[in-house]
Amino acid sequence: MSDKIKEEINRIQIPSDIHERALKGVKKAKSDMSSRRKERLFTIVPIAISMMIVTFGGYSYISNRSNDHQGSLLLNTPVHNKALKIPPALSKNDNGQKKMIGLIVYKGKIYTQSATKIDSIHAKKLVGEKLGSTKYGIDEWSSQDDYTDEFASTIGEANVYSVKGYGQDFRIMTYIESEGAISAEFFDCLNGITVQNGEDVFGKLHLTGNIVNVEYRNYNDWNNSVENFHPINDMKIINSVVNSMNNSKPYTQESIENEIGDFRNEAQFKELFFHLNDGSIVTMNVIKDGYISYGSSAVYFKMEKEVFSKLWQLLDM
Amino acid sequence: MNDIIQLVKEAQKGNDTAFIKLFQEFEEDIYRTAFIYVKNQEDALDVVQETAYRSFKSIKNLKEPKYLKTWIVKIAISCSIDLLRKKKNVIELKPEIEKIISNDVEKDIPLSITLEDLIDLLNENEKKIIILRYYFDFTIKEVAETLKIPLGTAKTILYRGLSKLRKNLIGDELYER
Repeated sequence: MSDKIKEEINRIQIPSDIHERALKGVKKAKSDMSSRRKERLFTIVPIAISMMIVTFGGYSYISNRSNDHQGSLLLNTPVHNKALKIPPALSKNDNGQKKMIGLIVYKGKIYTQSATKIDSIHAKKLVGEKLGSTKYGIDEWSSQDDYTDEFASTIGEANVYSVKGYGQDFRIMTYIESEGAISAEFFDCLNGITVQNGEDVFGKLHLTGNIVNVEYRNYNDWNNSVENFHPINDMKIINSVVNSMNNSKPYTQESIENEIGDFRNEAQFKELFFHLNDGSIVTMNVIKDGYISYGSSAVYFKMEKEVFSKLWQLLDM
Repeated sequence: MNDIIQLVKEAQKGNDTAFIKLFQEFEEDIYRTAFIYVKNQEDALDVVQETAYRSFKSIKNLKEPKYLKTWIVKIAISCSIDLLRKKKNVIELKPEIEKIISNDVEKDIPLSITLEDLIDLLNENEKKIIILRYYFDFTIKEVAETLKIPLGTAKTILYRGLSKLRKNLIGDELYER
């Protein structure tokens, strides 16, 4: 029986270009993997009222000052009639094809790859309760319904845990330990929250009182994936920066682009890394004109002028 | 096996050459598996490409290198079904109601099954189980574990698939008479 079925299946002729197609798939994966970091930072949302490309869903102003970009922003949960709205994470690239980023569906919410990194040693200490295991389910072809499937993901199969010290509503993690090698990654969710000031986002990262050291990287190094980080030693300024971040006001990426144009250049953009007590490394984007944002989010926060100028002096040495 | 483990480790670090070496071992099996689902060369090649893409991207999550083949075959089946779903050729099947099936399910099967029968008569779930069981030589227990379904369910689906093939043969034989 087994032989007969095998014999029949083996009648299927193998086309000559099969290996070429396999190579194409691997090449595409490799290119996606190497560009993922850049995409996380600079994916542009094409519609005016999109923000937090992946971390947030859509949003709407709830401020009365509708003509003013400043005010509080409601980050709407993308849940509609049991179905999750396809997140803007599936933004289209220049060729009009959908690009995928790492995401996990958990308790009806979409958690996306975090801009906070964790190394294997510290990850082990932060692993909390096991929540389940991810599975395949979401890809370029997925429909809205696929986003309702618990633990559907774009990341393959991995065990998912809560993260000690962080709210499960905001952050979960994958953790894999195999033959002594540990692989861990955070996934964040900021859907459905109202952002009135920076604390609504930055507060979840537990920066205050937990910063061990801070580094920055210049645009050109970031753009060329050069790991050239510069330390910042003035913790007094950093502490005042964090306070100012918590009190800062939210702006959409689009409104900032309208105001200052493309800020992705050596003169206007810096990457800031906060190393925390628990071993996590939080990435922020800083724009010369006074704005700061968390990782790939498309919402920017305007800081107090005086504090920001001190920060920029440290970054522009 | 040690070579495979080493290659998997290299691939998990992002070494595409190591991954290609591993994938090459399975690409013909993947193509044939896909063909049974998608029924044409163009789509089956798309599945090979997509399987290579997904598996390289997520190989870092593979816990046990010894399950590499099982893992890749599962991805290939998933890609095939996704492609069919994209083309709206698939009706979602509800989980089977578990039945107690005796262990002689696989006895007494005629030897005249054809590739066309496998492609045309079986639904997606039946294909999945029959391919894993007879093409990849999994035991029915391994099939159930791989697909994360109860053993009884796996047997039920296998039995139903084989019955379809059997009935078709009986029909053909009658017609020939």
